[in-house]
Amino acid sequence: MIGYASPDDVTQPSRHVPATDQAANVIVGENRDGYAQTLDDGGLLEIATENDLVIQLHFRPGDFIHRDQVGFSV
Amino acid sequence: MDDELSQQLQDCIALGVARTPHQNLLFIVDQLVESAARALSPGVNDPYTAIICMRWLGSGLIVMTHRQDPEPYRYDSDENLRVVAKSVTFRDVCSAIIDQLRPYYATDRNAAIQMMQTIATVRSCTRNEDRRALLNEHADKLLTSAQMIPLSEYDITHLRDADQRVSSDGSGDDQGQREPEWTNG
Repeated sequence: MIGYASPDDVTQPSRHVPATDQAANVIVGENRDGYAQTLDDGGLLEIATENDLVIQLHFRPGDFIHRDQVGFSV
Repeated sequence: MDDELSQQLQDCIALGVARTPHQNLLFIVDQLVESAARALSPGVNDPYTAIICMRWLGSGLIVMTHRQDPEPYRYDSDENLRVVAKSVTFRDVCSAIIDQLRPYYATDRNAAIQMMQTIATVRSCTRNEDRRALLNEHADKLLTSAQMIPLSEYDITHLRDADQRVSSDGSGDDQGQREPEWTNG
């Protein structure tokens, strides 16, 4: 869980998000459909850090994911 | 993109056949929204159940006014951007409640007035101008959609009074002063 600043503050991203056309897309899984019940936030951060990547998610926990749907841009 | 990395990413998600409340605020919101929508359907016609749902949903929105929207950006320990997540914002939750239920409360006098009161109460609890503007938009949409049902002049006045932006004494919305009315449910 991330922390919250004081209410009604406005924050801006402190880094630019890389343009997605430079990114490789990764599907959520072949022949896998269903609701994204759990997302391992810490695991993703670890993978991104170890491989020196920025990972953009295209879904939220709770979203229905269709088979072969793009879930990540790397 | 190597297969091992793809597999590692895929392993970060658990997929299942059912929605769960875990990491998923909108699931809980949707459960109350579904109850309200069913209660307001002509076959059931139970506006008081819907009104109770709206009060609790409003209570949830008030809790959200105490918090800033979650940051989508996650950084590593060296402050490098690593993950851009999709987060659930105040706007998303307002839409899940007020937009999703509009076809139902806009056809029922009592439910429409309750939703207007809920919008006004939530608005009175935040000083964030973007959020107040958003709630004003929702109040305008409610007034517009309620014009499509036959309401007496008295009921329309009642609905406008519930809006509180221009109250009968001309004082307008009293920021942060109004307490929610918990009468039942």
